[in-house]
Amino acid sequence: MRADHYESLIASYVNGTLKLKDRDKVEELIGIDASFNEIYLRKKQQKDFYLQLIPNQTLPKNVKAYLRAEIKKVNNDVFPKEKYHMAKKVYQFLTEPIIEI
Amino acid sequence: MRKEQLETILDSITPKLYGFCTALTRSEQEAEQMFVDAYTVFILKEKHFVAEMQFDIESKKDRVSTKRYFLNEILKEIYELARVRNPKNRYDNSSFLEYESFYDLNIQKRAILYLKDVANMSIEDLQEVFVLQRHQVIELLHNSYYGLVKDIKDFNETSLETL
Repeated sequence: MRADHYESLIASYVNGTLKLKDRDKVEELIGIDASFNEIYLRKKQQKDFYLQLIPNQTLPKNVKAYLRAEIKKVNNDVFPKEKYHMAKKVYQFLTEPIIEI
Repeated sequence: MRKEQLETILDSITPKLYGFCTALTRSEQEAEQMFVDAYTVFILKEKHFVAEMQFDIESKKDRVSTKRYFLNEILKEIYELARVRNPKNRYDNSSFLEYESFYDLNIQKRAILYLKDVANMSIEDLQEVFVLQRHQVIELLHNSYYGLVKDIKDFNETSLETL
């Protein structure tokens, strides 16, 4: 196999796009061969650089509370009759015979 | 599934969903609105399925698969909503300023970069969210990386030429 093929395999490994069955093979290559290890480190640095360019916004506490309240509101609108269902279930249980002969 | 169980699951995936919204729009207010709207659309569409869903809170397998289902489905709604709304690139938080090259990308590219690299989603999950084949997801990912650094590359090349 050509060297550039191995390079793209290592790049896929670093990017997390490699299939599961090939992961062990690539890890072995990186572990035993210094030149492959060098490629791996280069690709890893490149990947870390990309990561710095992508925002990773954390969820502020006040926004979390607001979103939680909004979800609750939506859920109450969409599923309003839980009590009714419960009452209906109890009514059914009391009126329908458990064993029929 | 009970309402409380649903809310517990949603609570655990809210940070990822909100982060995804801020990747698609620079405005925090728009991101919050997008989150709420996408969830409303999702729950209205799936209310019968969710109400009938059998969920054992003691089972780890159940918890993981249910969480994955909600995450992927709501991400899908957020993505669709963002594509329809095509939010303007105005920002109301100065911390977004440093990600100029990211926000210059189109919505699809921003979405895949965020989900792959920040949310750490697998290619299989990305296939589900974007409704694409494996090779299409990988192609889109590569194009997105290229787009992300293209301006920096161009800038470096121009600066070297002027030296």
